[in-house]
Amino acid sequence: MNKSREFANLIQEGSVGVNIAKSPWGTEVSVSDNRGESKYAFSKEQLEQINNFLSEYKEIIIEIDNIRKEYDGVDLAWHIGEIAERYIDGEDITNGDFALITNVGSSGDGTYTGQMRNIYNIFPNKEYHTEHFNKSTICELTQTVDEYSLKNINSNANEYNINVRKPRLRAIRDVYNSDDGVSNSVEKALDRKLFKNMDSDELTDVIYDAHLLLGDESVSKSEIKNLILE
Amino acid sequence: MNRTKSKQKFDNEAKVNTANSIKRIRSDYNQPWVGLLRETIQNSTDGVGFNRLQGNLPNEQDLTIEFIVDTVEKELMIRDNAGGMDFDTFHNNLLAIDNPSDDKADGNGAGSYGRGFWVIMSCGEWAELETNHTTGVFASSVNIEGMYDTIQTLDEPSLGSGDKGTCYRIHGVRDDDMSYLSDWDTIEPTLVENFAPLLNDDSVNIEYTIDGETHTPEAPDLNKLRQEYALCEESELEPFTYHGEEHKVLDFTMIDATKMDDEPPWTGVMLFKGNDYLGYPFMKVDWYEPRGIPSTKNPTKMFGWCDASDICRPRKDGTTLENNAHDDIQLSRTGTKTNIQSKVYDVHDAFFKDNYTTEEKTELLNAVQNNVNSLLGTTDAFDTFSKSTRSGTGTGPSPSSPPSVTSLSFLRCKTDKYNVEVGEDISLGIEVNPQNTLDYDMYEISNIQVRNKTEDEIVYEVPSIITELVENEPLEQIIDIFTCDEMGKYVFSAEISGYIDGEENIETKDTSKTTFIVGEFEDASTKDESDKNSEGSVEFISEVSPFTNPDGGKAFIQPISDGEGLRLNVNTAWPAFVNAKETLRGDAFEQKQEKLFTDWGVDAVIDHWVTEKLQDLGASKEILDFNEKRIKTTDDLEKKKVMNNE
Repeated sequence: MNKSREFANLIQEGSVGVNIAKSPWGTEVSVSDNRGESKYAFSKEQLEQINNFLSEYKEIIIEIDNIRKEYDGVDLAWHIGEIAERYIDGEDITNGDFALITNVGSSGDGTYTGQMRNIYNIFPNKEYHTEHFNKSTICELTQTVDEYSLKNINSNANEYNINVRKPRLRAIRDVYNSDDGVSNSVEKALDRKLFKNMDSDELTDVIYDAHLLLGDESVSKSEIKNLILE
Repeated sequence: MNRTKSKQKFDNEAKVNTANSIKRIRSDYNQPWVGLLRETIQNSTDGVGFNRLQGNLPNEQDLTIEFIVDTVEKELMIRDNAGGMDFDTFHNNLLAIDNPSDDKADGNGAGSYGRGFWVIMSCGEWAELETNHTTGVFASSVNIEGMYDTIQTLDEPSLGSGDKGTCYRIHGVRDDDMSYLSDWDTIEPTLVENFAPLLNDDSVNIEYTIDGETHTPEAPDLNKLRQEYALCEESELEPFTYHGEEHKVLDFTMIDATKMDDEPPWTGVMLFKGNDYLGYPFMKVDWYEPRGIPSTKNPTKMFGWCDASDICRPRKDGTTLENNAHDDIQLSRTGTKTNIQSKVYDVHDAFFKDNYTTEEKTELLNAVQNNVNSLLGTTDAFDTFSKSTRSGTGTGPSPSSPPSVTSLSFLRCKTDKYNVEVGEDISLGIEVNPQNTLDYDMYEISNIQVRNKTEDEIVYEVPSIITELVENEPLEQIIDIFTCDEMGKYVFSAEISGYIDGEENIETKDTSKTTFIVGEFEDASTKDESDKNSEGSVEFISEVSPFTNPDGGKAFIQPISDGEGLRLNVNTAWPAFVNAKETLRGDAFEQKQEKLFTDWGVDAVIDHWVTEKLQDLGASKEILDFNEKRIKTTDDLEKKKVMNNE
């Protein structure tokens, strides 16, 4: 097991914790050790392990901490993605371990880190329209649609002034994954709990916007509404 | 009258009080009943080897040693088939004191002083003796005063079984010895610990009968343990030189106790020695119990043994390093000198060094927390850091007249421990932190004393120390190592004042005191107060976390969210810590950490408190910056001192 994996495991099982703190001389990263019932362990091997970990990750943890203070929303995701891409690319570390070690994600599955790397790779010059997306939707979109479609969604959101939030995100997924035109996308949408309580006009707008965002201008609202009401 | 040695006759011999000599021999043994077991088995083992060599016994003959205890008659019969003694040996060596046979004196046997028989005898009032040798059967009776009957030559043995061997029947066995000798649960582990290799020998039988019930000691099979669970087997350890002669430990073995089905037979490392006949070390001569190696205790994860025969061999000057009782090698710090300690550390590092046990970690953290919290608990200035929700781990009462923060930092009495065992050493130290301006060039630290508060008596005092102080250059000095002989609550205190030669009554600048507890002592007043204060008692440090930054300070405080107290972040790249890590191991490293973190914790909490206070008071940015600079400067100075080995 490589050292990153080993330490990520310890974090995942709650044996150690990474603390970021303001010291009189700047930001510091310390490690709480919860192995056993104590929060303290300073055997030479543990010190060695902690020192190795900190020499490897301290700078990156502080860098991400600074990014967090400076940015939010999609910009924050982009910057974290940039750091992750830069770091993970050359190191023997997975998205999940990176997330655990730098406290980027709430779990170690790495999805979040991977999504943020996608944002950075798809929009290397920050060509996204932050006013139409929040961090979680664009993160999810990077995995819902292909790169070309996401770029399309980004420009169409701006062109049609559509704010992409959860309902439209789900509708995009349904439209994107429908292989039988609009009727299939409506059918998928109607199966969603999220849309059960929406009235037909609202749902029509959501599905229609999804088509527009994906660049499908061939559908009409009336066609969608009829399919909903059938 | 001028006398010369050549003119003297020396024709009278100094009188020896035999009874007193026997008493002293007995007193050489911490536990004479163990001495009886050891000397008996050792004599029989030496005897069988010697007699085989002399052709008095066939080489293939097994050795049987029988102990028969009769608690009603207060008798102990000891019998072996080791070939017995001829008349001269019986008369001149066995029944003599400090007059071993040539063979034993030459170091061929495990015994060598001619005293063993008398410790056996000293467990009773008198004894019948009989030895059946190829040259005849000889018998006598001997008493505890060292008097014996004229030796008789018998036609046939009356005490023994008929085998060639020796038999003692001890009458009037002392009650204290009998209580042990009649308890198989005590005897068996004693035999195992002292003679495990011998008990592994199929040609040696030891039978122990107590009031008609016969037992046989069962020792773990050391060869099997070695084959299956050995962590380390070294044919010889690095030699050491003692008074110009080289010695070395041989056949060093450490066993992984975690893989064994049975409990380990002992802890630590058993040092066995042999004789020239058996070809293997069979008898314990010392025991090395590592103090600072976690895997050797609580629980025992590894244990071991080695051959110390070379250490016990007679030296060129005729002395030996083992004591009269053959149960101690007379070296101070035997484990260290013989290089056993170093090897055990290596094995620990290779196989078990992962973690301290939970118990050890908790103990260490508690010690640091207690020390820091105790030191800071002497002032009410830090009430805002109190953690009110937890109980029982507070530092107890605040004194009636708390010193100010300033005085706390100018003179500090320090100890390296908060709790010590009776008989344990504690280090007493003084720290002086001169401030920006000093009223005097020289200062006198006086009334340096340790008071046993429980007995209300001063138990230790040292003369005043006169020293020059330089502004902003802290002074730290270990005063002494104090051994705590009595249980109780102790206060180590001192005071400091300016010093001008010839002037008296200079105002005291500061006083300091620190408390430590010796033994399992519970101070009633503290307990009551502590209980009363359990809600809202002062607790500062609830977590200690390392960080590493060669350019950073030594420690800083970070409040833990949700009011869970304070986290003490400690810099493991700080020179003093790095130095300790490189030079110390086990207990010593642990104690050093505790001392460093306690000192750092106190400073860090004070720095944190001052910063918070300044912020609360709406201090300007300049003042806050200045405060940070002050903290950094203090750290820098301290670091410089460590780097310069000051």
